[in-house]
Amino acid sequence: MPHAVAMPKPGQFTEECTILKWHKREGDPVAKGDILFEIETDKANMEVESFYEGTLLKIVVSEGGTVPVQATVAWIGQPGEAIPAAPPPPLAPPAAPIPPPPAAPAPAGPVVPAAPPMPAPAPVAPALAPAASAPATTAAPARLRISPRARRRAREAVIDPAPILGSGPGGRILERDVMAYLAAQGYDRLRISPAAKDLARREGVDILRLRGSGEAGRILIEDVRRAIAERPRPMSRMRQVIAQRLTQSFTTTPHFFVTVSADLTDLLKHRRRLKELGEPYTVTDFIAMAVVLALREFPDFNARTDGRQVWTFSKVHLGLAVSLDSGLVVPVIRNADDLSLRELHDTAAALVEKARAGKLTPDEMTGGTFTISNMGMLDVENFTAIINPGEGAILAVASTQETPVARGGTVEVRSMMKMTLSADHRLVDGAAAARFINAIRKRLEDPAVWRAWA
Amino acid sequence: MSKPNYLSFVQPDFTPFEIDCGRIRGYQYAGRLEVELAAGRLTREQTLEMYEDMLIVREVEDMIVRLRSGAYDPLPGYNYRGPTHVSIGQEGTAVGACTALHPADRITSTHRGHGDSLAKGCAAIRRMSEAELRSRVPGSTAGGAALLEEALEDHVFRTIAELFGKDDGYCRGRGGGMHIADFRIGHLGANAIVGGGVPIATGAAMALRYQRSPNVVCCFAGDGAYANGVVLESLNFAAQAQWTNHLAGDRPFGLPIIFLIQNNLYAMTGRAVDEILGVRHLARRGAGFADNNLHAEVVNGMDALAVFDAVRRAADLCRAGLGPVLLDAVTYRYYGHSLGDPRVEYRSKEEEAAWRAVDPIDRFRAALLAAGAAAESDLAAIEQRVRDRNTRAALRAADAPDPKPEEVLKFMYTTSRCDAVPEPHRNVRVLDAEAAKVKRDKDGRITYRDAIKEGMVEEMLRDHRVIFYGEDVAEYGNAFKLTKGMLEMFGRERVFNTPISEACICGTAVGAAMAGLRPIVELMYMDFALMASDQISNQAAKWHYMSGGQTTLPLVIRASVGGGKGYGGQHSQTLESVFAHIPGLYVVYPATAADAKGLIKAAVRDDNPVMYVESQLLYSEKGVVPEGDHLVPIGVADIKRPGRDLTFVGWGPAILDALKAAEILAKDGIEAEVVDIRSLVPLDEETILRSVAKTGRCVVVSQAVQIGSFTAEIAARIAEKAFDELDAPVVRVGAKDGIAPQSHILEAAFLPNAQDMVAAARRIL
Ligand SMILES: Cc1ncc(C[n+]2csc(CCOP(=O)(O)OP(=O)(O)O)c2C)c(N)n1
Ligand SMILES: [Mg+2]
Repeated sequence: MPHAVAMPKPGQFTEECTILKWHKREGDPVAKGDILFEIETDKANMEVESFYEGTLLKIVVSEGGTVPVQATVAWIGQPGEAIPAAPPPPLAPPAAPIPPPPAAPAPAGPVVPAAPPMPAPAPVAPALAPAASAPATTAAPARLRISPRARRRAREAVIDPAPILGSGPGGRILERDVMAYLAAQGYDRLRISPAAKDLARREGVDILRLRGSGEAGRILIEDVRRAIAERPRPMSRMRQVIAQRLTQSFTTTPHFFVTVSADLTDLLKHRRRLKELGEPYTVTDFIAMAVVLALREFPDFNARTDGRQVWTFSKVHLGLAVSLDSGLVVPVIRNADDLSLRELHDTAAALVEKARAGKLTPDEMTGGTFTISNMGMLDVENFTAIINPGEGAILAVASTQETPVARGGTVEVRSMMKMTLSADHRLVDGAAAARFINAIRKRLEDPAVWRAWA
Repeated sequence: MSKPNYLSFVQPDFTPFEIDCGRIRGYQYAGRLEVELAAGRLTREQTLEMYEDMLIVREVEDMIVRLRSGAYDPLPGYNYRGPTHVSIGQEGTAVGACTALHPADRITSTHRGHGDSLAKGCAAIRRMSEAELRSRVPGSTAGGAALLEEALEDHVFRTIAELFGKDDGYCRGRGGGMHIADFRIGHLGANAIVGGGVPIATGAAMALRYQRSPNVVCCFAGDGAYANGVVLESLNFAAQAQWTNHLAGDRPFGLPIIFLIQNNLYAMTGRAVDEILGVRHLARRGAGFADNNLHAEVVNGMDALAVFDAVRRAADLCRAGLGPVLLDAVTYRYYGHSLGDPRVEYRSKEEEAAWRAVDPIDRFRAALLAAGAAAESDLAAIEQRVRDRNTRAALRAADAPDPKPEEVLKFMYTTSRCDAVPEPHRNVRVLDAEAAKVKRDKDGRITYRDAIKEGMVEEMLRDHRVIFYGEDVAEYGNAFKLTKGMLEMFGRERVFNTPISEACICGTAVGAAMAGLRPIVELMYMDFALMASDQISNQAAKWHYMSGGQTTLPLVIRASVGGGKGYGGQHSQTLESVFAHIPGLYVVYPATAADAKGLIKAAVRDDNPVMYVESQLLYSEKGVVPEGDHLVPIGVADIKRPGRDLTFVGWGPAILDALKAAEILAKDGIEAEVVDIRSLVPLDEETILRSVAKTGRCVVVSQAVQIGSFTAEIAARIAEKAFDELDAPVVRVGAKDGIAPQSHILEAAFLPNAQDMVAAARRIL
């Protein structure tokens, strides 16, 4: 019996991957540990090694194909061995993407009512439960059933045959259907310049969808150019994942926002002095430290919920949003609550560098419990962030600005920084949020606190 | 109807008697060199030439042996890729025989044919006039002995160049050593099919007899070949009584052919003595085929003089009309079947040594010295000359240009045709002009059957080279009365019955075509073509190409399809797809009377071998057929009915069904076009594609079973070349993938019909 090679699950939240490149071809011998293929996950590219020895009998998913994790992508066995006709059932129900959080305290208090027996949600990342994204494959749209002759007619007419209803066997679009469609669409009355038609043909623009800007509605080359420029482009795989996750989070999590201004005048002076001494700390390091300490004080913000149960994390895994040209990644500092400022700094710096180089492993990008998004460098007065799926809150940090501030009856110019907390209203209320964000602010404003850090 | 020209009258006579097979003698030649010289049967020069020619053969083959082991010093490291069936040891037979032949006599040879080929060329060249020599080495400015020497060297060079696969080889690198041929000196080809050349030789002899030529054919073949059916069929074919008895009319004349068995005691490794034969002497075969034992003799093949003597006498018999002659020349090959054969599995070293001790070259050399015909120094000079000549030729051949890859298909088909009959062949004798006359009805219609006959008769009237034969085609007028009257019209010289010997019918046609005739032969049922498949597929189809265009094969094989009349699995097959798969043949299949006549005439005039397939189902179909020269070009399809909604394309009887189907569809307003390809090879792709471009839908039809049918070839070409024209998949209608049954209920279910075609059309409309 040949072995099925499954699409691996490189990250705990990864639902599907794309095969970028096969390193073996059908018929090639394969040794354990040989690189079989390369995949693109939602976050990174990686090489996949073989667990089996034998011959690559069949490649089921070819380059460019996207399939859910654990789907069979190939078969390895002895030459001549028969390959099962239907893919075997998954060996086990998809393993829980996240193990139940370590030491998640059994939710005390209101127990989920035993009846009605709603299917108990699996302890998975609520925002991205596989069920939510039914057939997750971003498979190409179903092949258009059209005869070659009809396709050629459509090509000659420079139209997209997709909307045409086919009258042939199995709904195949035939030449007569194209002709009928053209007649119904008033194709004969269409006026178009030869150059415009030529360009449209080359670029695959459906001229029935164009509005002519020429005399009597004649379609001109500019009209085609405009259509080309406005044509939808496919999103990059990374942006698609971002879109999917943020949409899910923003539409299923009731966000609320609390903003404070922190006075960083003293902290900035302190940091400058440290810098002169050769210490590398950034403002973000201090903010991270303040956040970690505040989370210890307010564990409700280091938690998540699915609306039925609450998981409170015993450790702080701090996500740092990093903006790249290609999109956003959030590397995670593990056990941030165990780290000194120095360690925080070093870990963060290493992760950011890896992120910029595109070298983060899937595990380095998953499992966060709270995230900081810092746009301080981007000269913004304030902004709000969307909570990362699987977390309960996020802190949006804006730029520090010289601001006249009334202080002890006089107006002083101070370095003020706004921070906005987005929190899951199912978990916490406004008062708690106010206390939490002010706990952060206080730590940033109190020299006694941060002098102890560095 | 004219009177039958011969009625058999054999009385029952059961008187006890014994057959006396007479005597077949062996090794009777007692001559010696001095006796031959004294009697003037050989000149001193000729004997030295024989010695030299044996050396030429041995030198070339020795070179092959050495090349294989990197030991041929003039060409170190040369990669010789071809076969290595050397005949070292057998030179006495090849040279003895060829020396006894006239330059215009023909030979056929075998896979072990370097010796025959070199010897025939040398013997012929040595007897050539200065003009003939010059035509072989056109660039030469030499004359006399120097010119002869150049022609000899050119001969060795072209032989080696062919072995090396070069464009300068005799066959332009298309044939190689196993198919080497030089038609200019009457070498009709070595043959890599064991026994395959024997019916060809027989056909060539038949042509020589017909042409009243003074020449003979010497057919070389091995002992192994004399177990092969087609060889035994050829002996019978050549020995038929009708060549020499009262049926032969004013010229009883036996086939001028010498069947020379190169009996080297082994087939590949199978032993002629004690193992794979039941006779001790193959010469005994003669007793099975003719009351004169075919003048059979056993000859010492190690003695060039004995072979010379036997072949000279045999050729004399043949020239006197007393052929055929069977000679069993016992000889020996020192090497194995090929150089890969270690020999030790099947024969002893002692045996080999004993035969080497009677080496034909050594013995001849000793005889020359003993007879005082040459001094030691003369012989040494000859030996040196042979070696030097061979070295020069080999170096030149190794350096010669390879054939161009883009010309890989050059010589596949010829474009030549007999558009005008040369004067001497226009003279045709007609015995009874009315006998085969075809009558038209009042609408000018004749049957398909008569259309074929009319076409053949017209071509036979036009060109004396056209002859016609097959089983029961003479008085009986063939199994379907198609050829009735042709014997009476043209006489038995041009229209005759053959033994039940399909391989020989087709094989002799190949030989006759090579020798200048344009035969039409008939296979009573197409199923029987499989009996002749070697001669059709390996010989007729391939010789134009394998000879590098030296010869054309203007012959027509008519094959009649019996499907549809309940004759069962062995008389009903539609096999044209099989032959369309063999490049080198043209394959045509008319569906109407007019096309039947037009195509048979075009086939006869074409210089390519044509499989002309006809259907018994259509024999009685009538149509208007133009009188006189009505030709249908081969490779041109015909639109039998125009239409715009759907194309039926096909051939043969299926076309009539397609026309009926089109009629039925027309009632629903669907206009089907019917394209009759008429020729499968060459295929008129353009007409098919044009029709499909118009209609967008295509049903390919024939009566052949679907699997591997030529309908699939057509469908594939449409898919490949007209994909964008298709509004539906191309579908096919043919017979079921089974065997034609006898029951008419079953056969109706087996064969396709008009309703099947309508249904197929509706599926894609
Ligand atoms: C029809 C056919 N069957 C088998 C072979 C393979 N084969 C090549 S030569 C040979 C033996 C031929 O023996 P013989 O006719 O005695 O010729 P020899 O090789 O001895 O010269 C065989 C079996 C072949 N070429 N053609
Ligand atoms: Mg032999």
